[in-house]
Amino acid sequence: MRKDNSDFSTAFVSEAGSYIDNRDYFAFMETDDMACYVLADGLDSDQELRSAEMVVKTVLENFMEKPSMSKRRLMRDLREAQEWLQFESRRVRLKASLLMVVTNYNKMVYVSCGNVRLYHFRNGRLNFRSKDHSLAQSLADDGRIPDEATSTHEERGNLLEYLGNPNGVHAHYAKKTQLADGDVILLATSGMWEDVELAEMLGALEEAKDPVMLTDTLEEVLLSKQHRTVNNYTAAAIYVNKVFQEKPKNRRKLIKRILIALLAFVIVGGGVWITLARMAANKAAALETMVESAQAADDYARAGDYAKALKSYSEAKNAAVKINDKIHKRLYTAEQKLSQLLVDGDGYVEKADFTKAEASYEKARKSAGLYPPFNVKDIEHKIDQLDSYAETASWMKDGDLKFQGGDYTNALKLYKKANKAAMESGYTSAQKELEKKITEANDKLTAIQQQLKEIQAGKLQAKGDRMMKDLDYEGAIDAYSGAQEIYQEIDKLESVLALERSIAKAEEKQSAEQQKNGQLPAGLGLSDGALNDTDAGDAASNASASVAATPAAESQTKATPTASAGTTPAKKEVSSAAKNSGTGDGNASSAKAGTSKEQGTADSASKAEGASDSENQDRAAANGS
Amino acid sequence: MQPYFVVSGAAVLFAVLLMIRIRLTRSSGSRTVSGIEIGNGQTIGSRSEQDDYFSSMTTTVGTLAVVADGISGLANGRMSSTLAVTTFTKAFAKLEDATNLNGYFAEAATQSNRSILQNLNGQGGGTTLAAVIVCGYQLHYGAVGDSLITIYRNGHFQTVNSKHTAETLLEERVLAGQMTSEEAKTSPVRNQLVNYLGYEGFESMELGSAPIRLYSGDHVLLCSDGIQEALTEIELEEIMRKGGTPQETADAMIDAINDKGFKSQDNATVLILAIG
Repeated sequence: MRKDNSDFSTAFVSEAGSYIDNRDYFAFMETDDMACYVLADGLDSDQELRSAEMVVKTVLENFMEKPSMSKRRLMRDLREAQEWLQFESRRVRLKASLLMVVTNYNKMVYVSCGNVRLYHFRNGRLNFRSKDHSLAQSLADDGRIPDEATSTHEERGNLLEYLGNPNGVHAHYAKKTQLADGDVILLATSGMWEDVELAEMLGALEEAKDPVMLTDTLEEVLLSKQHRTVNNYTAAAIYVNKVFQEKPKNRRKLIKRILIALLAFVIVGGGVWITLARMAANKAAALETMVESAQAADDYARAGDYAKALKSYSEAKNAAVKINDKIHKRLYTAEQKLSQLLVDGDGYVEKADFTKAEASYEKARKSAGLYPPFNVKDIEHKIDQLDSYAETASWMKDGDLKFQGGDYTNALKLYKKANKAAMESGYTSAQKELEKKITEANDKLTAIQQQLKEIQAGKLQAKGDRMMKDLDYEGAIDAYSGAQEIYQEIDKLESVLALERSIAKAEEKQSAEQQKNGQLPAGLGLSDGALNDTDAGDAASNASASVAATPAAESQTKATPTASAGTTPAKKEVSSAAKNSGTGDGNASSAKAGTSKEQGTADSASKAEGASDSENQDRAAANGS
Repeated sequence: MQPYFVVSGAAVLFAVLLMIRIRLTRSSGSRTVSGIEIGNGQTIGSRSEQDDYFSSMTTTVGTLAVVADGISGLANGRMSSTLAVTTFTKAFAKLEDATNLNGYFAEAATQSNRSILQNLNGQGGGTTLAAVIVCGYQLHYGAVGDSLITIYRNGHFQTVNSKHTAETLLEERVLAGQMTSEEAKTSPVRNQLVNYLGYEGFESMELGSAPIRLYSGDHVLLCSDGIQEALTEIELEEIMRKGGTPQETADAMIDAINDKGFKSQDNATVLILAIG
């Protein structure tokens, strides 16, 4: 209850002067915690509306709704009054000067607009006066006229600010002033302060003991001047007999609050600072990335590596977006698009779609001149090469057709031709493909060659077999050898080995034949009984039996191939000995006696073979029977 | 870096141009009058004759602008307004210096009143008159009747003279307790002229106690009551706010009146002086 614990008394006088209408208006409101005093001076001549009354009521209504001393609130009230005046200005421009004083019975604030004045007296002297919004006041502020002259200067009515001004309202808000017991606040319109000088006001203040006396005295002073025309005048006096005493502030509590506020400020401020620092760091990093990426992209573009340039321009553009650098974003977007066109062109070349490639390159060529890293000549060179690429692709296609038709030789020729052209024109993507195709064609040709040789070898082998049948062992060996060579050439080792056996067999047969032919008399002597058993007419059948016995011999050879091989010289030796001993039987027996153990072994082996042969012979005969 | 240079260059250029503009604007508000541009407009309204008369004149002393509104209700309105304006201009042409312009106004008014009375020869007639002299950046004025002198400054009007109608007398009667303010407000003679040229009881015209300071960009308007009755202050403000030369503005005012097409439209005259 501030009002009850303070003593403020108010009185006012407001008259029309020598006019019918009083266009001044004063009203005040005292609530438990605050009081508001509003004085306005209507400046227009509208016959129906009273602008002063309108604005005072608007301001007081707002104050009643929510009493406040805040600047924001009071200025808002003033703006509402201004809007109301402008809304009602239909025929005449409604204007008013206004002064609003708000107090909490301890301190006061005021808002002024126009030339309604506030005088604050303390201890019988002027403490301060509000300033007018007039040209005279601005001249006084500039030091061109004395401050006292503002009440009489010709420009005192030339207002620079007032409510209802079509250019908007600009009021003055005075900060809180501490009130003291015995203070007197006087609110006066121009009708009062123009004709009552400050000295006269101070004189009236000295005499008056209450606001009623003061305002009455001021009116008397004004009227005593007996001007022919007396303007509307209003004077409102507020006597501050007792100021509301604020509770002494708890210093510890205050310090605590300050510390908490400080801490909150440090935390919030620190958070904000850290956030800002991070944002700045991120921005700096993004800027660095942008510059580096752009530099790299330019280098790639200069080097003609448009795929890498595209990637780098994209990174630079993203960095520009991060730092909200619209200019660079636009630049890198354009360069990225340009790179994309060139990459697309290269892609079309790889797919051999040269029409689309040319369209992409042409687009790129048109805009490349605007961006220095892009070499227009390089793009033109790409366009020029397209014909050569098309020709290469055509050859490759023809080669493919030949290849599909089995004409590997001609396909290979076309591939090689295309490959040469691709190398010359730098058509690297086609080059790789062509190399692959050349390899495939070569493989095909090699495979065919091998097959041919196999056939050739097969033929020789068959020939060898035929010759074996014809007992032409020499011819068979030659044929087999020929076939073996071919198989060796084509690395068919199994066939080589098989032929080796065939050759060995043929050689055996040949050897046996030769032996047979060369040792026939001695043989006959050694096996008379045998010969007795078989007549000479069966010689042919013996031969055939010998051939029929080949598998048995062969199996023996298989069983002891080394022995077989080892026996051959021994046999030959024996054979030669036999040949030598062919000169006489006695020699032969002595030779037998004189033969070494080794020879004996050879003999026994020979005998065993002979026995084996005889067994086979019997079997063949049995089979023959 | 190229785009930064371009943007910085543009910003610097903009700032330089802005400074030049501010300087030029300030210099235009210098203490010497670089020239006064004048525009005028007039319409006969729905009356049978044009009783308004106006004139402007520039001499070494300054620029004179006069608007007279012949009283149509009485005979010889046209003669009265023409005679009054002619008397003021002739007297101004003879003026050699600006030391006593209020004396000039008073003398010209007295002479006009005398001449009109002589010409009327007992018949009814008369005219209102509003006259201004712009001398340097000072506005001197004299007015009689209900024609208006107003200054348009910073988007709004400041009225210079007061109307010499019966309203003043009625106010005096109210103040004397002879009638109530309501009776005064509803009185049919409220707008009746109590002072005009050609009036036998004419004593003097209203004169400014001190010249009014003018500023560059100010517009001084002299309007006969035909303008004030047809266009509201707000409408006049709107027309003025559109800008243009004084002649274009005056034409716009007359067009606005004609567009309204009031059946009892009075003669209307406006004279605009734009202070350079």
